[in-house]
Amino acid sequence: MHRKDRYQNRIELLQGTLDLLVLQTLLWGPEHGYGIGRAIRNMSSETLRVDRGSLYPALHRLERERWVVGEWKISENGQRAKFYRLTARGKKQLASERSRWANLTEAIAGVLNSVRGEDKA
Amino acid sequence: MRFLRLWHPPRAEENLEKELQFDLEMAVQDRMARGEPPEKARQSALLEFGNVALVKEVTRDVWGSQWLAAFVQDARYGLRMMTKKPGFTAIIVLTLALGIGANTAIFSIVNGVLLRPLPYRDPSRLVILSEGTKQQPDMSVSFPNFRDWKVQSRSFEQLAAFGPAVFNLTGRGRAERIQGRDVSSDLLATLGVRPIRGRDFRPEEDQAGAPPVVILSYGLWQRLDGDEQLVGQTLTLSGTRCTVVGVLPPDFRFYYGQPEMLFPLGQAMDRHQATQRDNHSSLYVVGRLRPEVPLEQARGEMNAIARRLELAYPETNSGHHITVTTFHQDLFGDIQPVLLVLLAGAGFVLLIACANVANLLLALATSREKEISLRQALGASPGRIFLQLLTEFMLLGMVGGGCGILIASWGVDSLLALVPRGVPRLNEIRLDAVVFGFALVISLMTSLFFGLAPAWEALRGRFGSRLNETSRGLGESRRKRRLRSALVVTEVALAVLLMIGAGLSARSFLRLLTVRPGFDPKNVLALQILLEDKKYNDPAQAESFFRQLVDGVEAIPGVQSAATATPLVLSGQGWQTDFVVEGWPVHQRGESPHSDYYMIDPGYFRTMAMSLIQGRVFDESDRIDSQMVVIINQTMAERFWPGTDPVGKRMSLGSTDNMNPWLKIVGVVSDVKQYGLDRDTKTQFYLPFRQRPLRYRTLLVRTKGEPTSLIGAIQSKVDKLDEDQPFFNIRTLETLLSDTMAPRSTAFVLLGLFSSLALSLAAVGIYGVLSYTVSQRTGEFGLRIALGAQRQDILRLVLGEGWLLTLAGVIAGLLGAFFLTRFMSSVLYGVAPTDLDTFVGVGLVLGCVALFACYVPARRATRIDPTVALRNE
Repeated sequence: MHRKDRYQNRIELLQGTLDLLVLQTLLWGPEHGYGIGRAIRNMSSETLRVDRGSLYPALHRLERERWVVGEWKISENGQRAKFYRLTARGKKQLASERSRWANLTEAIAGVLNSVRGEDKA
Repeated sequence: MRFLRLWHPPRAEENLEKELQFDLEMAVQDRMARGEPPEKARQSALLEFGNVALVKEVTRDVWGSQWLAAFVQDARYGLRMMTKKPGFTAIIVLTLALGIGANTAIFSIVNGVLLRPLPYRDPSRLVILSEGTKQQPDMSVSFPNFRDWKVQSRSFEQLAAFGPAVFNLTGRGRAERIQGRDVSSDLLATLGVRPIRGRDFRPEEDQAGAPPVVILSYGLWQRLDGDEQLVGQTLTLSGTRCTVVGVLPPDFRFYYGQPEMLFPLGQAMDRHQATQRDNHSSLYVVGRLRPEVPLEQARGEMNAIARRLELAYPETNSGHHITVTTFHQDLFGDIQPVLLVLLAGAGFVLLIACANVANLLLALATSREKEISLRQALGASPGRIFLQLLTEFMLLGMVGGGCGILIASWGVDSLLALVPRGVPRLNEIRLDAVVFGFALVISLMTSLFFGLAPAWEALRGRFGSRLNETSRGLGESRRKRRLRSALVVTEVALAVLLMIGAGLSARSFLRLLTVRPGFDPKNVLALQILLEDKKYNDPAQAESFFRQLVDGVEAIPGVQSAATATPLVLSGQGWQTDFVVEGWPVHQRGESPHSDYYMIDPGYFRTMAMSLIQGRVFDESDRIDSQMVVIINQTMAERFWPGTDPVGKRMSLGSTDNMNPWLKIVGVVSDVKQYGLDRDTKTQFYLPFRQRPLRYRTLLVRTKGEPTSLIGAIQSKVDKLDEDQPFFNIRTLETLLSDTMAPRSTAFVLLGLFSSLALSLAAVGIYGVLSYTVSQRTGEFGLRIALGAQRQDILRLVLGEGWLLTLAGVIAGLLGAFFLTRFMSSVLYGVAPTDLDTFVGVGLVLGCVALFACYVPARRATRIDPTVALRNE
């Protein structure tokens, strides 16, 4: 159970952010789990690596929230794969998560900047 | 939590496996595309992926509380609750089972008889056409009129005539009597039915002189060994060789029964005397409305045609109208109101059962409030708890429904023994998928009905507030008490409604029992015999056959007397004719007096145990060459010869312009009920077979003991006279009589059953509420007694509450009944739907039962020992 705990800790840490990243990725069109992981990795220039133990629970949770729907389709290599598609609800959620994220980064930036200002003083 | 995994659908598990497998393979492929060797690519991909089983597990955790799993959890919990309180559960399940069972049983009959579509193409467009006059609203159709309708009408795709036909089948083992129909060649096309073997009749076969052909029913075809070769071969029917051209589908039925054989009407014109326009002996007409023509329009057109025919043929058609009824109405018009009243009755029982169960659950919910508060404190959302309670109640409903189906499957057989045999399609009644679906739906709806109030009540605004309260204290909230009181009032009101329905139908039935049929039905056997017209061509031959038969049967030990007659009383048949009274004003056709008549043997009145009021019965002096005579009934004597002695007066059959020889009245006999005890007594007269021999008669045998034991002996007497002569429709007059009363006796018995069920449920409801109040207020009563209240005061207090509920319920029920019973007026006889005695009686009965139900808990309240009650506080 030790490793499970580790995963769950990471989920907790990443939860809000990971959802945001997944939803944002799906804005480009339906994609399967591996493709989503790859896209996040590529777009973040290999900085963000999402491990499967976080990605799949997140995808299934988003599906349960009906922000995405899973559809079985034929993938680029000719195999059946589960593609996730953004729903209208998902788009709304993405918008609100984005503004939340913007607020958060702004707030954090404010905190960090004020610290630097104090240093200068 | 772990066992819940088992409940995840296997498909989801499989899909997750596939999804992760695909991920892994994509990773391998990506690495290979970047130039890694296959072996290494797989290894590093696996390494990067991590523990597959673990990924699966954490993903599955997301599914954790999906509805199915939650449902299973709730259901398990519900089952545990049910087994924890077995007595409570048993009462609820039994109550529901009775309600659901009663409804399912009645519905299976409604479904089999009324709802299942008739086996024809688009049956809703089929209509039955008949003729009528003012005195005789329902008459069969004369064939020449039918031909004119066919030419003149535009509303119908097709019109086809049909009439009864009875054949003696010989040359194939024992002689057999076959009941069939003579039909127009396009009858099957009108119904939209095709033979499954061979072909339909051709138009040229529907004419006199054409080679005789028949279409067999599937059943008859099977009985005659189901040989393919039979189509094309000949059968000897009443002495005529007929070629079999087709076989009907197995489910074919038409107009009160399953005819075993169809014969072209055009070849049977003699049988129906179909060439005379004034003969309305036996034909009816079925039509198929054009799709765009509504029933009213067709009625309008047929009225216009009736008027044209009146002008064209005044001597035969004046005063005649045409009735157009839907096929469904014609078949089920009589039984439909009875079934609907019963269905409503069963529905009321179920509603009462719901109210009772809701009350029980409300009581239970009080004891569960702490549990529910605990769950809420632990984070269960109100919606989740609501669902959990509903699941629990639904489980109760389903178990009740299952037991209800058991009750219904047993009940349907007993019901069928009650329902009149004349009802069409009785043999089609069974517990099929539709009935099971119905039971399922009402079980679920019932669960919602009885579950909503308690589930809602359990949730309303007491988040956590109950945890730190004791369950005694002030007792249940005022609102909850109001809710329970409202349920009891509803129950009482519904019970009153049902009891009034039952009371009215009981009064009708008792009224009916006092009606005398005019004859003594006990120990009389009736057998029908049709002599073959080829063999008994000479009427004198037929007369001598029946004379010998009656003499032979009377010689059988155990037989008191025997006679023949046509038509049989209470058989559903009746013969009518116009007649002329000597010395009475001349009437226009269609308005001349009209009466039922019978042909009989001299021994008829003795065998039926009817009484002779004046004059004499027929005897040996009435011969074919002597003065034509007639015997009339009392009603006819009073109506046409009031205040004088009709014996010796004269009348004649037919109408003024078409007069037959005078008949001398020789006697007056008592009235009999020809069409059922609930019908008005009509004028009736009797003609002697001796002067008008007939080949088709009913043999009536009055016996000293059980009449059916003599059937064998009678059969051998018939065989001695003519081996090829079958007899049929063997019935006792007692069964005929009870059949005519069956719709009312069914309503009476079932409504009685329902209302006693309702009464006991309501009594239990009142009792339950009051005992609960008493147990909740033990402390209060103890205090009151300690402070000096008299036991009488306590008694009055509790009784007062019970009485108030009862009174409210009774008033609501009486009001409801006042408006609702009018819908059952067609099921009643001799009693008004708002019969005061019944209303008052039901109110009193319910009052007494309620008094008793209140008294037990009230008495308990007076016995409270104040010291004990207060110490427990």
